[in-house]
Amino acid sequence: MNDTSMDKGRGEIEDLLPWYATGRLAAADRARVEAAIDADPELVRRLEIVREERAEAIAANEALSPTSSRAFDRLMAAIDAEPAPARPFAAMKAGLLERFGDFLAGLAPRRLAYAAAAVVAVVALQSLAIGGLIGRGGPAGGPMTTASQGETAGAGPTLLVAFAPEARIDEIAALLKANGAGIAEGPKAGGMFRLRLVEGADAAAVAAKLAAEPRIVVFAQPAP
Amino acid sequence: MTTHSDEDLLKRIAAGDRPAMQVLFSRHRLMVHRFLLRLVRDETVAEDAVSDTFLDVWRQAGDFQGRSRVSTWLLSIARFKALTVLRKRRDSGLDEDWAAEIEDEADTPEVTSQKLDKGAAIRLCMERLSAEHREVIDLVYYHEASVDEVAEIVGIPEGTVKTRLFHARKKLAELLVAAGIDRGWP
Repeated sequence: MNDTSMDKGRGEIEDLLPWYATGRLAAADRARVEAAIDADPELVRRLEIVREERAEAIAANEALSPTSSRAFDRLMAAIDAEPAPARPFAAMKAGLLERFGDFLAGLAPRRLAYAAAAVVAVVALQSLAIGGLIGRGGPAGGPMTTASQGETAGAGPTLLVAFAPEARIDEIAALLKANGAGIAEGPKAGGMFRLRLVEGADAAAVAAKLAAEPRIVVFAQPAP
Repeated sequence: MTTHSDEDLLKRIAAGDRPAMQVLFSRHRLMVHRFLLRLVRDETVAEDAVSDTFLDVWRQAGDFQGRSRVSTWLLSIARFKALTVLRKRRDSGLDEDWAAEIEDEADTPEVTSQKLDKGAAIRLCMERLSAEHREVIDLVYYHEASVDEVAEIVGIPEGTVKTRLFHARKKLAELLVAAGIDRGWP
């Protein structure tokens, strides 16, 4: 191979090096690049330059400040303002979501609202699965209802909680049982659940005990 | 616990499932935010564009065809939002045309004067690149987009993607040389 054709072949391979470095080449191209690298030490050196650039591009991006909760709050407000979609699933949950929105906006103190916003993204996935606990028995074996059925019967105090995404359902159930709590409503918008405690229970103390299990509970506070 | 794929989440979102929207947001917000911030270079504007991007996802989830990765789709929407912002800036006389923005070589000597290490110098020179070149470098190196994904996000042919990245890297090398750092390439 003369110098010109060698440069041309090297140029074609070199164009692929950035994607080779990120592992985003198709198998055939990857094999072509690897064969060329094995035969051309200069390509090895140029691949190192690519990797150096990539490392600095990653560092530059990672150094950017994280998003605040403002983008999330703004998104949720915009979704709230959207006209109700004609979707079966949405229709099924509309009562719950609207009631929770009114509840949180009307009753929650500022501190609670900010705390809830901070954990809301973390707990969202959890909320898809914990709904199955509703109706399995409340505090002291009392009944539970879904939010769509309205406020849970009973005079015990209530808590707002959010569970850690990695917590298992059986762990959650056991923790609630040990603390005389049952899920009264939820999942709320943002993945929050409302717990009902036995009558006369100290809501703050139970909230503290739940919060002491950060692997299972990421947020717990007496409901206002 | 079951981990829902992005595609599953979009199906749920299309059905009006708000928790699914929150999961998708929490999963991708950082990636979208960083992409936008590097384009618009304003924290507040970037955050607004993040929420606008995900609002489009809420509205259009049912239109997702599954022919590309969800992250690619998100970046396509985000880029459109960024360009809309930048167009408004240009129309109001606050900014020049994004596509016409050229690399800034004026401050390159500061790399030398500050005696930055090589990595810091590369990062500084990346900042000096034109927006178009910064974008393709970020998409390939940081967001790990393939050639066809960059083509889809940016809306250019695949051949142009390769050419654009080559020229971006070449310009970066020139800026580094001007700053006294010669890596022996190109």
